[in-house]
Amino acid sequence: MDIQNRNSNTTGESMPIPSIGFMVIFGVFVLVAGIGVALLARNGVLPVLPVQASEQAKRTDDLFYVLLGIGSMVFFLIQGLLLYSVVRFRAKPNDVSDGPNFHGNALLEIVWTIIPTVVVIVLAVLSVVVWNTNNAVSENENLVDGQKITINATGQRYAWSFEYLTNETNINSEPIVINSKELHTYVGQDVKVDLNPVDVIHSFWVPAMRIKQDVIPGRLTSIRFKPANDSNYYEYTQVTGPLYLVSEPGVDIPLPTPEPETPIAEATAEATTAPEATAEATAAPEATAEATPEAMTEPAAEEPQDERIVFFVEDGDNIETQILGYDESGAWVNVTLHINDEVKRTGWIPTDALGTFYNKYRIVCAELCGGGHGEMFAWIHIHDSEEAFMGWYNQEVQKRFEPPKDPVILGQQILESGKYPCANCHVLDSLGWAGITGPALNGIADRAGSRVSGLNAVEYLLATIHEPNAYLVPGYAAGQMPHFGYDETAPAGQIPYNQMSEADLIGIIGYLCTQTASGNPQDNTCGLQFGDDGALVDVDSANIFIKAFADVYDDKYEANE
Amino acid sequence: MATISVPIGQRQPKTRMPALADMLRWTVDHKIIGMQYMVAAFVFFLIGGTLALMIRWELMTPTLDVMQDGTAYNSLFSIHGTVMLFLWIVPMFAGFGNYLVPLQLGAKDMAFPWLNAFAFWLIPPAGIFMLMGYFMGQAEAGWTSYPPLSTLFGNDGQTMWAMSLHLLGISSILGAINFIVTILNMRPEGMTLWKMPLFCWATLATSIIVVMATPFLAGALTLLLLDRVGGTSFFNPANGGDVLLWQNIFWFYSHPAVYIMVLPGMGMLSEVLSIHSRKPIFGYRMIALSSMAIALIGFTVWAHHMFTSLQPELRIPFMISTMIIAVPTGIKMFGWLGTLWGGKIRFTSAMLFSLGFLSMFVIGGITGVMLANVPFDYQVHDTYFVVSHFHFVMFGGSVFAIYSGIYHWFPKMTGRMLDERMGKLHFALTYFGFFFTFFPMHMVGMLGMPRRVAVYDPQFQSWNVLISLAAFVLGFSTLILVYNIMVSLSRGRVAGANPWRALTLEWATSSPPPAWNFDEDPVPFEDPYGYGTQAATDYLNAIDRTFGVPDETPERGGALRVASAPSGD
Repeated sequence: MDIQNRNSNTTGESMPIPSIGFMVIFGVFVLVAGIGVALLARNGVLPVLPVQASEQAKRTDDLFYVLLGIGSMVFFLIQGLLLYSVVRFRAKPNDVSDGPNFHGNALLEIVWTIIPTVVVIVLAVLSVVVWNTNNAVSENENLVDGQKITINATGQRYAWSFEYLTNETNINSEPIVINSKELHTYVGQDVKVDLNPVDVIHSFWVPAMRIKQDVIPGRLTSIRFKPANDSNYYEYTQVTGPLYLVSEPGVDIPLPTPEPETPIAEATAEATTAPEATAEATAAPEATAEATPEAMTEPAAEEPQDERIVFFVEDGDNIETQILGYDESGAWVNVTLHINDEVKRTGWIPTDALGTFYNKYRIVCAELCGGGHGEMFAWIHIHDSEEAFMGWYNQEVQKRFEPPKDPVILGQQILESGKYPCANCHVLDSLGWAGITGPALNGIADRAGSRVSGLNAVEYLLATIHEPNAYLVPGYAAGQMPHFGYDETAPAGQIPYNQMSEADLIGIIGYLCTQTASGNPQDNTCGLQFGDDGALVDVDSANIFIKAFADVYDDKYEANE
Repeated sequence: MATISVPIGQRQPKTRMPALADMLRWTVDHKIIGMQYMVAAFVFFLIGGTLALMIRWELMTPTLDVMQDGTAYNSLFSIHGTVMLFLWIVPMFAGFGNYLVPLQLGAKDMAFPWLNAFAFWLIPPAGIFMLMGYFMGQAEAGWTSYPPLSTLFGNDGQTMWAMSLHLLGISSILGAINFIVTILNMRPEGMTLWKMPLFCWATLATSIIVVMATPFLAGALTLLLLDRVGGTSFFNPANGGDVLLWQNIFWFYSHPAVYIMVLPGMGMLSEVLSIHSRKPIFGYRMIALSSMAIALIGFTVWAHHMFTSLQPELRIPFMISTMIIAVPTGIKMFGWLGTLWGGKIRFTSAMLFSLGFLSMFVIGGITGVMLANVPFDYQVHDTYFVVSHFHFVMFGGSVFAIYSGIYHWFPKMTGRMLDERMGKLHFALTYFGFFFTFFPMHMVGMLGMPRRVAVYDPQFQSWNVLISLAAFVLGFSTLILVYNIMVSLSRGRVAGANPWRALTLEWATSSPPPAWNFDEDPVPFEDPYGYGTQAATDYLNAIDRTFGVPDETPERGGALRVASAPSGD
């Protein structure tokens, strides 16, 4: 090839201008494609957003569809021009000439500066409007029976817990605080949740509600939302036994005759101590968790079952149920029973067995908070009406009217309420915990006394709660568990302790002392005396016994404050 | 028009290809230093890429299975992010800048050659500090290292992380000062700022950002180190500190740092698009000015990274400034399209990667504007949507530009062409592997998957499997480039001085250039992008006659054929 011929300037000096027809067709294509993508997403053909579970979600989504439409137009405009250019202006084989020598076009450059500017101004205005509406303060915020209450959410490595500071007082004239590991609300309630920081930054995010706010140590933040349910479709309900879950709709199997035998000793103990226990057992979702594992094994042991029976719900059991769909007649409903976190059973039940409806969505932690960040989530529980919510609320208030004196029962109540973030890290079958970050607590009452020489079981349990890093179980990383109470081993500058009242501590130790591998609390190594019915022989002396050890730590706090 | 007035054929290449041993040698030659930057950065790219593939391997299932525990997974993405940003993209562009800026200006070296070498030699110890954390409990608070997670928890690896970034920051500042002085003082006669190649403009804008912003990173890191080892409480609210202090200072550096990591790539793109479509750059001044506009507005948008933590009343102002920055970026985008328009596009590998940049970066730009909208940001902040967005900018933008630059300037640096067929295969696998890795992340994020998790809601598994498979293709595509470089170094076609027939000055010398770059002070062409005129053709022909063009007959071995007959001179 001759060097002289490698460049020869044969083309013109001006910018090639496409025909008007082409420009119109291309412009229409860009507009239609952009709007089309936005409409497809809006109508659910492109699955890009979860359900809209709040008023905020609807407005945010409308803004998103505008953004998506304009964004898609930009996308098709640029990619279209790019594709057109590389096809139309590709060099022919063996063409070694240069292109035309033009350097710009003032008019075009002004146009493509002004149009994007106008577009972003319009978007900014839309965003401000949506933002203002979504964050507007409502008069009816957090009203319960016409009175304002405070709702707190605490983010703590690695769990969420919620507090309702009620306007009620208990038998000792102390204000009643409902602790819960689920955030309860109802469709149409104006909710404001105050976010309590404890250790590191977390972020309170409900994807179904399009709301997110960081929980920041040293700062008080809050988040507002209003649950909604436009489709009026509820995914969850509770079913109450006795009831058969069957493999296909229309199968009618007579219920067995009820057996007079009491299922477990613990329930009896609870019933004798707390007068409200019966009401609790029939409706509280938490109460079902401990009763169900037996329920699930028992029928299988009795006799060879009818193959059409998937599962039998015991009399009085109350199980969370996910609704999958109805049959043609509407008399039967396809459901999944959530027997516990691990065990689920799918089948059919009669429609009239369904209880009140609700939805629940994940509350996720969106800000990196450590090794268990991925497991940190909770449920937001949206009742279908204010009445259903009040049912839950009043029952929780009732439960706390008279705090149990028995440390075992108190401890169970505290641990089940999710007041402390134990469940997401530890395994404890009796409460349905299935965490992976921390050691298992099953059978802890057998081992606690022999873990560290010189410490008895109660001392060991207290020490591991106060100073987890000093008593690591082999194979588990340091720095994961919050320090409850003063920790002398905490490095300089580290948060020295989290609040845990002595009463709570005594209750939790008491409950852990019943967690033997055999299931019989009499086998415990803590030195607590249990009767044959599984209840403490002497409640008062048990409290005094544990308190004596706990006081050692109390003195330490006082010395350090 | 005669611009290079030496006897024809006199300048046979007298230079040898830089050897591997040169990469380990203390030298003040900006070309060797530039390549040292690039080789070191590429090694870190391979390390960071391996970490990325381990992340994707873990995410194939919704449970924790590959990594030992959640903390180990956190270290993985923390080091992946830090290595990719600070030990790959930043030093890689510093390498291109070092190599090209003096050449494009017709200078003999950088303004401060010794300082230049010193700035580079801070990088290896910084990299060692970063990776050494593996032996003492790796940093696990993400590349953003928000306190209190990074101050109250974690191991000594976090301290090493901060010290490593300190060194890298010093290196960046020294390099940037050097660039600014070189660009402002060492241009040849006749090259005003408005006749400077756009890569130099981009490097100038970048260096101004580095000098202004990096001291803030140094400040933040110093406070972090003091909190970790000095017993202070700058970020500990229990003792009167403030955790948002870190976020504000960190992002005051790190948002402009995004432009540090993409502006040089945009400069390279301007060169490649113009040269390979044989046409002047469209709207030269607008592209140059938009770099400066981005550099300035880039300092007013940092808090858009904090829409979920910032005081609510400050969120809207930062939303507006963030949206404004889309305008200069849009100007560049349209300028590049205008450059292609009417050109004679050559589909070389360098050009393909630049076109790939245009088509992928635009997606990152669109999602950037979406993210600026506070109500929508609430949904996608700290989710895979954000992961997708910044990979479209940092990979679809910066890395595609780097790949384009490698194919474009490899001939100048080594005297050999990279293999074009392998280059096209590399492009195809990278382009599609990239798209299918990162585009589905938008959906996963909007549907509710937070970032930085090893354990996720099982409903996202099918998306994640698709993403991981595409990521493995993307990872594999890198090996093709490595192989191509290995093979081409020894057996590649001889490049000659100016294989792309480009007008900027780095091509007006032999490949690789001699120790002092030019045997005689070069005379720049009146317009660095003035393709399509007879004057330009004459200028290019004069270069060819002076330095010879490679013989394209099948025999290989580097013989340069020199034009036999002068014409026109």
